[in-house]
Amino acid sequence: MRLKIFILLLLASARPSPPAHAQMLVNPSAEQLMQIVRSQPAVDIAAPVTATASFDPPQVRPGEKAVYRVVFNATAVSVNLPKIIPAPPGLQIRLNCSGQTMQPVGGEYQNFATFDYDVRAAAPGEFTMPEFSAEIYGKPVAIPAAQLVVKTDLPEPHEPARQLLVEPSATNVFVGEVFNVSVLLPATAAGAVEGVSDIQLNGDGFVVDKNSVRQSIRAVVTAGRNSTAYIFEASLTPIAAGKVNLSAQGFTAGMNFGGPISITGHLTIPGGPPKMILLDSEPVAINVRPLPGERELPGFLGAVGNYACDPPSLATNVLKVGEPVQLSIVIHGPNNLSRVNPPLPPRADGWQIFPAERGGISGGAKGPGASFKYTLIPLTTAVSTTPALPFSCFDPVGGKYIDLTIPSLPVTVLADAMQTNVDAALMLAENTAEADQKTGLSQLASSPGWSAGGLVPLQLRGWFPLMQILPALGFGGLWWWDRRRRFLEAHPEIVRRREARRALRRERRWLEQAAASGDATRFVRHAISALQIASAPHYPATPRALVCGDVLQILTAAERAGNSSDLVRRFFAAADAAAFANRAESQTALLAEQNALREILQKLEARL
Amino acid sequence: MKFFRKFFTMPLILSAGIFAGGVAPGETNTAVTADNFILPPPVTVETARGFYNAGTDKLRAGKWDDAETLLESALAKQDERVQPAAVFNLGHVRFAQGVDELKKSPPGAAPQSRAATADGAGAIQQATAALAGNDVQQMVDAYLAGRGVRKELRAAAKAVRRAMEQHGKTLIKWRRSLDDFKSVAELNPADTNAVHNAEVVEQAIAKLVDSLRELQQSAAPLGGKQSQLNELLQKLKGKIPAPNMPPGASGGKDDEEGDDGKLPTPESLTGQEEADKSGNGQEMTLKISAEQAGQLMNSIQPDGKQLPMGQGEPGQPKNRSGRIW
Amino acid sequence: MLAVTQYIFAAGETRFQTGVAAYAAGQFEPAAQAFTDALAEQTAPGTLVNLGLADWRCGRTGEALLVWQQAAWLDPFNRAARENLVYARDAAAVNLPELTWFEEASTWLPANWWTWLAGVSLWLAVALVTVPGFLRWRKAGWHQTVAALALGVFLASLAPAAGIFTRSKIAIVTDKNAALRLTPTQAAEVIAALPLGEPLRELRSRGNYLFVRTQNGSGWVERKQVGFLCPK
Repeated sequence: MRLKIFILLLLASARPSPPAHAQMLVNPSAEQLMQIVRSQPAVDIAAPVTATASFDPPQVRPGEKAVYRVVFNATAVSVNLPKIIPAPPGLQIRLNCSGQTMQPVGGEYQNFATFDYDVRAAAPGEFTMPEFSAEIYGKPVAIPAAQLVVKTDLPEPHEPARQLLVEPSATNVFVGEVFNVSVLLPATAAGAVEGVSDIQLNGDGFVVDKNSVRQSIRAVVTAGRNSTAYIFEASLTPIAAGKVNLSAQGFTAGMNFGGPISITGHLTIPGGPPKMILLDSEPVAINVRPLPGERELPGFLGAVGNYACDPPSLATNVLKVGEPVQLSIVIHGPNNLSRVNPPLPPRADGWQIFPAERGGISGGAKGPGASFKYTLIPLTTAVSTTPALPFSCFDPVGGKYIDLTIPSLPVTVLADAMQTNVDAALMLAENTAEADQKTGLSQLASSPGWSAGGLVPLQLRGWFPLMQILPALGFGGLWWWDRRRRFLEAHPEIVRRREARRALRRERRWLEQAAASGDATRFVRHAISALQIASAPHYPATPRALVCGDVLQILTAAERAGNSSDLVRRFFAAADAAAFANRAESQTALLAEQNALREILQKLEARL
Repeated sequence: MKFFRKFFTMPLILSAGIFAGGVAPGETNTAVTADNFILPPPVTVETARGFYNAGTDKLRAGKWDDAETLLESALAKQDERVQPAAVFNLGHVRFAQGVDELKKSPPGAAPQSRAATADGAGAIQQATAALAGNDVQQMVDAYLAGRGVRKELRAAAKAVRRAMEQHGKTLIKWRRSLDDFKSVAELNPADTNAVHNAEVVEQAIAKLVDSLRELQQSAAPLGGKQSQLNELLQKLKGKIPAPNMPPGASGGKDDEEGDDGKLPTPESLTGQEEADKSGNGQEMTLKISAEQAGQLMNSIQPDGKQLPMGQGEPGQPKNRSGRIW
Repeated sequence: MLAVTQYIFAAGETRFQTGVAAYAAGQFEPAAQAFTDALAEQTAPGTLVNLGLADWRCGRTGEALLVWQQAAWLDPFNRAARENLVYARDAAAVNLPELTWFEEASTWLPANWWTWLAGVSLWLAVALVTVPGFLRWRKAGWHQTVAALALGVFLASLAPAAGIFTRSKIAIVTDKNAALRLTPTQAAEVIAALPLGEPLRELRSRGNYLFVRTQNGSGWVERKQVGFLCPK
């Protein structure tokens, strides 16, 4: 007959289970604040730091794992080990885990930091890890040499390096889905079972629920054979999607179980002070899937699991305006109830609803349930039902969201006969005002609207100040033009001379053309015209009104005494003859005076 | 205690660099006259430099609180020429404040706690043995011994609580001091004094945390021992005949009921375990829920100031009548 | 040039409609991305409003408040932007930015309108005063009346235009971990936590830090933790 023995061991150093925190902490106490800041490594600063090194087991077969263990009486963070351990050739070494524990030594506590290296050798031989040093608190500490023997034929029974085993209840979970993890330490070959302390579950992206930790010793089947094992169980909640490599580490603790433990079957527990040896496990891959974003139901607040809600209960169904009433709901679920967030109070016309208060977790026919209480205040007699509370959870088995909305309950709201509930009236007024003001978010805009060049104001864009130069330039030009115009109006001779120069250039051009074509008549006509134009601004007079004498007066005395005067007279005479004589003389001879005429005209132009 | 002696040598190391590093931007430091008033002294020139000079004077005079107020005022003026020097001196002030807090810690709290725990274990054993037998005298002896040990346990718990509180206050000050020196190094990377001081403060913090942990470990069994002893003494009290009851035990409640120094419970003493440093990730071992821990951590700033909590009724904007912007 | 402009507008419109469709399908992240892309093509108040809605649905309160502020900056008559701002400020419990009188005045019209108004009215007044003289037109009463009016408009729009300039220094907190620091350093003493959507006013900068004024005091904040009304 199988004998069941339940032993409850409460050791002196056992820590009672922390009470479940039913409510959110609003103002953390000094202890809680200190609890956070105190989570630091410890070190005994008085004792000299020493180190030990060993292989576990000291003899292995080729390819078999051994653990090279270095232990310091110092905190783990103070130990600065060399990045490359001087391992002998042929020995593969890799840092696997490190941990820290506190042990009583000589009536005082001391910290012990352990570093475990995974060591394997492919070929037989004797490998000696040489002495080397590590830096602790800035001082070198010598780590003694250690020897590992690798043999193909080892004497039986050969016990391999001890290891923890990690067995998760599921390896494919959703974010937020709670699953259990068992950490096992099988009995030694001699059948001795010992506890494990300071167990850590290593891996990113999950939260360990310390309230769910259980310990037991019972028969298990490992590697195909029956044995007894120490088992540590805890609930984990993944908080991020992805692949998580979960591993465990802990110190062997002999018969120090550090809390309640359930023991089943025949077993041997070693007595005496425990040997605190750091063990670790091989990692186990957990695939954490994200919750499907689409099809999420209203009221989903992160509850993942098979949850159910009891019908809500109301303290009374007959109310008065402004009179608070309590609405109780109970949410049942398999686990993690302490972390279930209650449905958020909806915004409902005619009701003032306060956020839920946690009422603790209690058992029942449907299993454990978390209860919540809402306080509702009717603000008007127009309401006939309590508002529904949207709530939903995600069922990881079915892979879908489940609607658990708390239904409405019928109520009768009576008016306060004396109309004395000022608070209710005020709340109603505020609510109405808020409803007017807070209309919620708008609908999507159907079109982008008019396009703007950007958000940067025009003043800060380079082109805008530059663009202001254009009208300024325009007005400046206008001003200059007006000023010039007024000046010319005050000095008409400038205009006359300028026009005369322009006309003279034109006449000279035609003159040249007439000479080139041998047209003497045209040549003479343009010559007369040019002489008149060049002389007219000096009088001032209309050019056509000038006669030969007028032109001669413009010439200097020296010019009049020379050939110029004669030439001018000849041109005018030829022109007069052509205009007034019955028989015109030939003017061809004057074509030969083209150069002399040009000189006269240049002199006259220079005087304009 | 060697640990405390080590701490008290720290400011000497720091002060070697403090005034050299904290280059006084003012020509003189004579803006403030020495006084003994509680309020910070008046500053003749209410500029960053004036506040800095006054604060530095107070720092030299060892008036940390005044110095902190004045140097904070100098910083608040946001004069970039004065800022590095003011932050540097603030770092020194806060380190000194931490040292002062540490001096208030009762000496030898951890050994006292361990001794009380050992005595408690003896008293529990004696009371258990007395309860197992029917010898009245043995029960009276055990009861009297237990009462004495209970007082001892209570005194030890009180001392540990006080020491931990002081350590906690020191830790907060020193972390702020560390950040001050780091800020100076960031503002002026050439300031090697600030870097040196930051390293010194970091070492001091590491040792302080070790000391805290030692206190925590030593106090962990106290609560269990005291409650166990209380229970046994109650049983003894019930079994001892009234005529044999020792004086002072006849009241309805034992004297331990009016316990002034509530024992630190193991929950309040134990913190989170050191996370794995092997690069395999970290275990989030929270004794409180993730939300609560998040709120706690969000509420704690390095300087110990609490920020507004983001839960409950949301704070309303100050001005709701303005236009849409 | 015209063809290029039309092409850009058409691409912006396409992305806008893509965002609308994604939003309607409940895919808020793709919708936000589409509206952001549309904004890169064409800055428009409607796109900003929709981007704010998508951001809000994605839980990015600060960003939503920022883009709605930008929508109201471009178009103060946009009712959706105004209503969303009221709602979001109430929900996020953040304050309105404290505005001076001339900044208040600048909110009456779209940001660039004041500048255009100032520019156009100035040159109109100058033209009406000078051009009749240059062109020797007969002096008419309406010339002087319109010139006086234009000058008045110019003077009146100067203050709002200055308000637009100073409002461009306003930023919104977009990082939930933003804090007001005493010094521009990583290890600085924190003066106050800055809630998402809190308005700030930049006074000066140093490295990656801005010296800002908030309704809770002045201090330094990391540049990457805030978004400016007018991105620089």
